[in-house]
Amino acid sequence: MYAIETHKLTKYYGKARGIVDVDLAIEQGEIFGFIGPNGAGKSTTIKTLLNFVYPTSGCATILGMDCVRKSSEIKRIIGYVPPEVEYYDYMTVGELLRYSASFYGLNLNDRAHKLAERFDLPLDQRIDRLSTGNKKKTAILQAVLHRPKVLILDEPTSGLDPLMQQRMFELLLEENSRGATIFLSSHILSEVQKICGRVGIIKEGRIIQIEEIRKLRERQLKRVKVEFGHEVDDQALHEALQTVCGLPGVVRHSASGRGAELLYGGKPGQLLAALSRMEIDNLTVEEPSLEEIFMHYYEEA
Amino acid sequence: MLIFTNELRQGRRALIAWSISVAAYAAFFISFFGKMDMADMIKSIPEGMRTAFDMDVLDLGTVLGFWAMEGHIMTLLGGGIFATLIAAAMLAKEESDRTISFLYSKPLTRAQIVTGKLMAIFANVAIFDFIVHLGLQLGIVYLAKAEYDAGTIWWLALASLLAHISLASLGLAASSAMSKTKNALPLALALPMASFAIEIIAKASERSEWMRYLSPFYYANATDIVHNGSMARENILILIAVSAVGVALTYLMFSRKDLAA
Repeated sequence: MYAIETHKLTKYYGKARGIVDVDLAIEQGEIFGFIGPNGAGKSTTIKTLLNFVYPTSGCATILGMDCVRKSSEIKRIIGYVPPEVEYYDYMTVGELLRYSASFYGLNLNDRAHKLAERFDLPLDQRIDRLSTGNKKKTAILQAVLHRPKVLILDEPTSGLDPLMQQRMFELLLEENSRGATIFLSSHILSEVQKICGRVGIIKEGRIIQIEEIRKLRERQLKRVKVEFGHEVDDQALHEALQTVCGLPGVVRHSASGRGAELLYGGKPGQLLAALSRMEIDNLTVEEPSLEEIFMHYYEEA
Repeated sequence: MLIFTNELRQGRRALIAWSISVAAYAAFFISFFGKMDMADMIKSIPEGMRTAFDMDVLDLGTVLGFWAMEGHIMTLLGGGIFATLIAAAMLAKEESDRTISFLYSKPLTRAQIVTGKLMAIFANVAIFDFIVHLGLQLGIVYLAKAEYDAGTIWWLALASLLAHISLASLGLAASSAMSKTKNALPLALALPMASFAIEIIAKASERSEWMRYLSPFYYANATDIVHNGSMARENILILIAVSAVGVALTYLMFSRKDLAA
């Protein structure tokens, strides 16, 4: 049984596209990153999973329970962090956490206190006096308080400073080692790549790639920068740039001035053989960032 | 149940302010009983107005006849505004404050959310009408110093409650069809105002008499109750039916509704 499974999940808001044919299969105990630019459909996917909105077609289950028919049973075992936190202004943080815990029939005051201390969150402050960061912390705390089996976080890093992001990731890893499945969305890959095992990329409502972080790094894409010497005349430079950029295995290239920058996925030997016939001043070969690898997916899809 | 108690706690100040001020109005109004010469006053009023306020039917020499003339319709209106105001805002305010996603993420069905809110509205309206009619009785006893039949007063209270619940149910149905409080509030005011206007205007002329059946206030009118000592059974049933329609529409629309983006 998967922690989260969707089959051709589709949501249109009237005629506006939300998500189209989203297929996901997330194992129990996974930490899954859901990556895409704004408006790609990350929140719509999450809102459909939680039955905030009804799917247009397709279906989704969480731990085998149908997201529409078993929604309130699902809520018992999940925790959710919204992208923009809006809670009852007239409550204090502590009151909100108590109100939240009461829906599960649990008394979690001790745990609430410990977590609040750890996140420097003042329990006696009113919600409407909280900074954006503290609102986010409140949201994270109310989501993990009842020890959910599946944690769904929509843009949890936004509004948190790096130190608090770090503490949140530690908390998520703890929850994960306890057995919780974690599904988090972000538009910034580098922020979540540290803790995710796999990531799915969504663009314009469709999943374009699901990959293990490890495999992404192993795809052997290299960033190659070459600069040609000044002794090369314009005619030869032009030809050389064309040759380099046209090599098989070059997935992305840009030329500027006397140099070229490539994202290269071909055989290293071929690249070296081609370069050895040219007058090169400078050559660097480096690991591309995951960001770049993803940009490559975006452009391809 | 948690939503119910939370809503009651959150709405207690509004409830106290509304019910105390309308109860004070009732006591103030009734204190004029016996302090003016009714026969003279009535002669000076145009005939249309006289029928509009049932001065032709009511015995203005009794304290409840005096109250039924124009006191009752004002508390119906005041309570109607209060009831539709809280009802219309009850679901819509969560959506425009976006706090609804908090409730949606808790182990509750949509129906349970509606039930909690509905119970809170009914409890608020019931407390309101109780306090208002308590105020009225205190006014009769201590200010007007008149004899009266308490049973009739509680019939008036029940009639008000049913009229208010039917308005609140319609207001709630309307608010579950929209997601912004700013749209729900004008509607909340329009419902009782229109009911009031229809009830007053339609009574004044025979040609528009049929319009009265459109106003929930007609079914809760004081003249019949004071005249008969109780509320007609068909009026009770009609108000309950209107409430049931509003409540059913609310459950139906709210449980099929998408959270506003």
